[in-house]
Order: sequence, then structure tokens, then C-alpha cells
Amino acid sequence: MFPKITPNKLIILKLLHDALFILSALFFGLLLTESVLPGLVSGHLGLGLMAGLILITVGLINYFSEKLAITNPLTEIRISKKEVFILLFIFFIFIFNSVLRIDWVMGAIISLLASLVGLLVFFFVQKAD
Amino acid sequence: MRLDLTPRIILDKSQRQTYFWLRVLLYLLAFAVFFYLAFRLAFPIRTFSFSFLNPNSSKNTITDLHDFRGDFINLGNFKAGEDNYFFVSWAGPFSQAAAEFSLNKRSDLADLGTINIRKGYKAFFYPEGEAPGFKEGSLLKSNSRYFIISENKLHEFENLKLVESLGFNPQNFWTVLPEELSVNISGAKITAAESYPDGTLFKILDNFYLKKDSELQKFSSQAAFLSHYPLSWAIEKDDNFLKANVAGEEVIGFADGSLIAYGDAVSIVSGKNIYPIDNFTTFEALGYSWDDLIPAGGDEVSLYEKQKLINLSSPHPSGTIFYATDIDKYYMIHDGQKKLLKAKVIADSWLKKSPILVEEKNLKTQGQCVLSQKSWLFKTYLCQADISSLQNLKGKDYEFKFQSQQNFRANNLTVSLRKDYSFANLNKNLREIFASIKKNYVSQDNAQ
Repeated sequence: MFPKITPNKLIILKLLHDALFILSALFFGLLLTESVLPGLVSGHLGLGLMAGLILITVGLINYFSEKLAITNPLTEIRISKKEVFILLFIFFIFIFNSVLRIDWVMGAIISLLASLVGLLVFFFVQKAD
Repeated sequence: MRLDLTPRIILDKSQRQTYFWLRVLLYLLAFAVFFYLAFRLAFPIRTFSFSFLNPNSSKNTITDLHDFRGDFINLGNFKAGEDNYFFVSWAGPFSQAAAEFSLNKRSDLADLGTINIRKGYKAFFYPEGEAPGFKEGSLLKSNSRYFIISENKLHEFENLKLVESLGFNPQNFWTVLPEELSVNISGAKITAAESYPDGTLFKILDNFYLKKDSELQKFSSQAAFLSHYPLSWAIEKDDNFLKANVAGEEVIGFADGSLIAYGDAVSIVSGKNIYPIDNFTTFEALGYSWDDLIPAGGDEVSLYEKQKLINLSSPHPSGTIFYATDIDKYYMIHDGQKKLLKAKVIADSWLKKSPILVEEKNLKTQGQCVLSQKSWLFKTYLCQADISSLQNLKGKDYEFKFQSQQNFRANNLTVSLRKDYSFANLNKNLREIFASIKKNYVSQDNAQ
């Protein structure tokens, strides 16, 4: 019924992309939960461990791409301006949520400034590429 | 819609089949991890640890490890036949507890000893000390006889006329039973109206004073006075009285155990010290009531020496009064001892805020387990106890009392607490999570 599984490097590379997608989704979910109720996730699981797993996966994707002499698909990802603004909006919400207790006007100003810094960093990095 | 994250990597037919099954496996694994994490969030296991190799590490979460003499269990050396104690603290009920000792070398013994577990407050587990009497300055009457507590002794006024001539209102004396009076030792009778005994309280203009060591010691504010005494006990005097008496330099602050609020901080007063409480959870877990907060000014707070933060594992400081609801008894904490206040009226003389509610069951109800070898391979001994009988008891501290059967040396100690896996607990945990989220977003003023 089941085929004899003999994974080669190409399959491993594809699976690593799936793993990266799963880990990123899980990391985002945990980050969201932690931001809503601090300590709920970090009390049980180190978010640093999740970040470490993501970095290891990215490193492995890079390694296998070089081994197979193919262009690393991750380097080909181009983010559109629309996607940048969606990411910045999520970034803004996270920052705003974390500083909400100070004062919501002050929180909004801090979050806006932090988002602007993020936007500038993104443009500088893009220009440097 | 097919989700292919790498459309530019083309596989042949056999590779595609292999990739499909491995991908299915990967996603199933991801779902398993997701459900495991969700399960852990719904049924949390709280783990606490202590390393005897690194006893000063900030990662140590098991607290107050000591033997029956009160000495720290140095280097994890447990001695046969001796009682040893350690605590873990958490706000919330648990129904299962486990303690695990990692020994420095393998032992042949099947069992290491027995562990008894109690739940309550650390201070309520203190040994009992000598019962105190009425508070200094208390005005008492019994069978038409009038008394004042001066220098901790019971002094009787010679007659009602003398009481009135000194300016006391006999109506404001507390009626007590004759046997309750015997808690304070008797002092000399007050026979003359020339001078007031120590312990007398005065209101001069808008300030309050206590006569102590023949001098008038001023209270820092009316709120400070009210944290000690009822307003009716103070005799009203004018400025001339103050000029005719020696004013002491000492300023009397809030009563021990008072909760003062200054800025965003809430602190507990104990002697010359204040202990700021680290967060809302600790405040509530200690059994305090928000209604007992006394707003204090910066000048009043500066009278005290600020001590380190009170956290979830801290005991209640001196001056705290516990009320055991099931046996109707009051206890006062003082210098590491729990002192029985023999009557409600005695407790009332010390207590001007809500007591910390406890039960005698806190002292008597226990979970128990035997510390047995986990497996022949490892140097670890595990003890698992059903503590569902402690679940509904008040308190945040779990006391573990361990008596070893032989001398041994432990490197590490781990304790874990968890709830039973049931729909009732799931429902309760989810409610707690939602309540915490609400508390996180709704300000405390609105929440109350």
C-alpha cells in the first residue's frame, strides 16, 4: 500500500520548506498568544527554542540549496509593498498591545514611531540589496 | 488549491509520491505538536526545582529548604530520621503533586522516605508562640470596673468618677469577660487624676498622640491612628495640654500588617519597614482585600525603610492576623511565630482591617506519598501524591515535609503540580485564562 520511502536531497529541501512554514505559523500563533496573555506560553515553552528551530531550518535550506547547486528559493522571495504594509500593521498591533498599559495615546505614538523605524530599516535593507 | 511552497523544484513521479507521504507525516506531526501544546496550556503542569550544587541560583524555585532546626539543608545532605521541609508557591488549586530527588550516587534502597504535603500560607505554618494580650492603650470594662492597657499591663481605674475626670467617655470602653482580662498581667491601680497613664490616646487640634514613656508620641496622620485604634478612644485636648507635656521625637506610623498605597505601589507595613508587593496576583494570593488599602502620602512612606519586593513565595510579615474560619480563632504573626489571640475582643484590639482567612484544615489535611526509586537505571527517586483533598483549601504555599530513612546526598530536587484531566478542570482553566486576559486589558479600577 505505502511506497518504499527513499528521500533524496531534493525531497528533503522541499520538506524543509514545509517545516519552515509550519514553524513560522506556530511561532506566530504562540507570539500572538503570549502578547495577549504574557506568561501563558513562556511559562511552559521557551519562545527562543522556537526561534532557534526556525533559524536551524533556514540554515539547512541554505545548506541543501548549495549542495544541490540550485538557487535558494528563500532568496527569491520578493515582498510587495502591500505585504510590507500588512506586516507593518501586525508589527504596530504587537507593539501597541505591549505598551497599552502606559496610556493608549502614548502607546499609539510609541507604536507608530517603532513602525516607522521598521519601515525605514526595510527600505534601507532593500536598497542595499 | 494545492499549497506548493517550492513550485520551481520539480520532482519526478516516484519522488512526488515519496514527498507526498513524508509531507503528510510532517503535517500530522505538526498537528500532534499543536494539540500537545494546546493540552499543556489547558492543563498546565507547574514545575519547580532546586539545585543543591548551585543553591544561590536565581533559577531555584523551591523555597525555604530547611531541616527541623531551621537550618538550610547544606549540599543536599539529608540525614536519617530527621524532618526536612521545603515549599513551592502558586496561586491556584492542584490535585496531583510529584517530588523527585536526584541523588549524587546510585542507592540500593527501594524507598527513601515519606513526604507529607500541606497547603496554606507559610506564616500560618509557623510554630505557635506565647499568646499576646490586648493592645497597648485598649480601654476595657467588665462588671462596672474600668481598665486601660498600659505598658502591656492591665491597670484598673479606681472608680468611674476618676475615669470621667480624666476625660474618658465610659461608653467607649469595650465590654469584656473577666477571664479575657487575665490575658494581660495586672498592674497598679490608677488612683489619681494628676497624670495620664502610658497608652492614653489624645486628639489635639487635628493631630493624634499616644502617651509612651511619659512623652506624647505623634501619629503621622489620622489614617495612621485609625489603623491602630478607634477614633472614640482618643481624649480631645487643646494646645495648652500639648505645651504642658513633653512631645516625643518618634512618629507613629501605620499599624503592623496595614496595606498602604502610594503611587502605583502597594506595600505591607511591618515595624519600621515596608514591603512592596510585586503584582496583583501576589496581592490576591496572599489573601488581602482591595478594600483595606490605605492611601498614604510620600512623607508617611518616607518614615519606613523599603525592603525587597514581596513575591508569591514570600511569607506574610510580622503583624499579619489570620482568622481560622472553621474553629473561630485568630492568630497573629510575630517574629516567625504564630500567636493565638485568645478572644475575638483581643483580636479586635489589634485588627483594624480584614484578617487573612484560613482554616484549621490547612494544618491538618495532608497528602502523602512514599519516595521510591524511579528505575534501577537512574539515581532518581519519585513520589507522587493525590492532593485533591487540599484543592479547595485557602493558601498559595505547598509545604513538603520529608523524613528520610537513610543518610543520602541529593544533587537536585524537582516538584511538579498539576490538575486532574477532566472537563470540569478544563472549563475552570479556560475561565481562568479568559479572566486573566480580561484583567490584562481592563484597568483595575474598572474591574472592581
